[in-house]
Amino acid sequence: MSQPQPTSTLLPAVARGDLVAFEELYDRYSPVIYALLLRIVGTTEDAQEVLQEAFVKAWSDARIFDPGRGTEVAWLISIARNRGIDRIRARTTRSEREHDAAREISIRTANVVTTTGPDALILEQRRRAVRDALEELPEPQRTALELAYFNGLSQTQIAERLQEPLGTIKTRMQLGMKKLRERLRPESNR
Amino acid sequence: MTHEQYQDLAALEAVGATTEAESRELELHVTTCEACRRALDDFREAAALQALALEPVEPPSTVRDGVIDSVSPSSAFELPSQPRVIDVRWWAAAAVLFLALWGWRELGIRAVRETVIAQQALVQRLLEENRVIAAHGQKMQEQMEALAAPDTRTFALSGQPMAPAASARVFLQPSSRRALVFFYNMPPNPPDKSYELWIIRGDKAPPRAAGTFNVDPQTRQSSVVIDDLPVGTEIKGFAVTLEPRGGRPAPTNSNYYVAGNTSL
Repeated sequence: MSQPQPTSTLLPAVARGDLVAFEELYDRYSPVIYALLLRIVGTTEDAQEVLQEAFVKAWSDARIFDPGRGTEVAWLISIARNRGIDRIRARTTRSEREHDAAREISIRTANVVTTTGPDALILEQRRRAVRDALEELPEPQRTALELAYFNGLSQTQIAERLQEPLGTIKTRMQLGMKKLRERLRPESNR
Repeated sequence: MTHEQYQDLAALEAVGATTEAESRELELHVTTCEACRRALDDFREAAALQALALEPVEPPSTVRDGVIDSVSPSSAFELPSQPRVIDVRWWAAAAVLFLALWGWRELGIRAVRETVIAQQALVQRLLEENRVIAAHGQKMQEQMEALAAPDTRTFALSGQPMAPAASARVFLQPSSRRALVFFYNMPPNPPDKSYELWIIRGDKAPPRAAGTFNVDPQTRQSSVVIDDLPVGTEIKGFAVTLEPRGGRPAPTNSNYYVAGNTSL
């Protein structure tokens, strides 16, 4: 399945200090990034703080983005994900983490975004492609990948949580990632 | 480690599931391997795109204002054109503002406290890592000098029937007559045995002992530093056998675990 690209990439302009381009970057991708951070950190307060940190970092680091090595949305997601994982690891007590995670369910039903404009529609197409690819993964593979990526758990922690051997977890993640890589790679790179 | 194994590692690295040692080894490898670098980039892209499966949520407009304010130049301060009328309502508004600012201060203190705690944990982790790195500093320096020298040659040894999955990589520096050999996926040796590396000579002389090593059962890896190599043209290849503990002056068998010829 080919992956449609947005009609314009904004990071080169952002790297030149174009504030209008940066505002468009925020408007285009902040709903995706905010949803990711709500999933990772679990509270609106922390998600909003990390969202701000992530976009400020994107502004300062835009010049190092290399379009030959990935898309700008994936680059932004990686920045936000890393900051989100750092935030949850900084929480010192298990009760804080579990308390915050318990509030996650009530957060995500509000402020769902409706798509308009060609770039938003293309992003929506990519979203459907990703969901299709994830639904094709066996449940055990998808679960292991989610625990690693969204919860920041190590292979050992995932094995303990799922009561599975470490080797099994490693193999599941590798197989899952290989399938995702194949399904989500742009048509021109196959 | 084979390219396939590095790419398996890249799949785990992309979701943050590798250890720090694994991440360092992978990063070192991809600096010289374009195929594995591309694989790592593809895996990272696929991992990040998982986020697109989540239902997007519009953040509050206050966050947007905060982001833009953080990156844009500050605006000029403007004086009011007319003096304000101060009355009781102003005092009430000031009181509300004071309470809001006090609450904001408490939030700020909490945020700073969390940051300090996180930074203290980071400092402790870095101090521990520094101790580990310092302990291996000399060895790394020697290895990097050999790897970085312009006349360094590198070639692979492949697994033999005794250990088909094993492999080794040789970094040989003719000018210093020194070599570093890294072994991967080797079966752990019994306590009463040692692996011994042999230099196979091209002049039909008997193999020359180049050192013994043990294999870590956890990592299945090891390494050997060889000093005082024969002159380059005399080296035909390398091979590894399992010998009585401590090694022998000459091979006691021809059951090779890894072997290969040089291209010198």
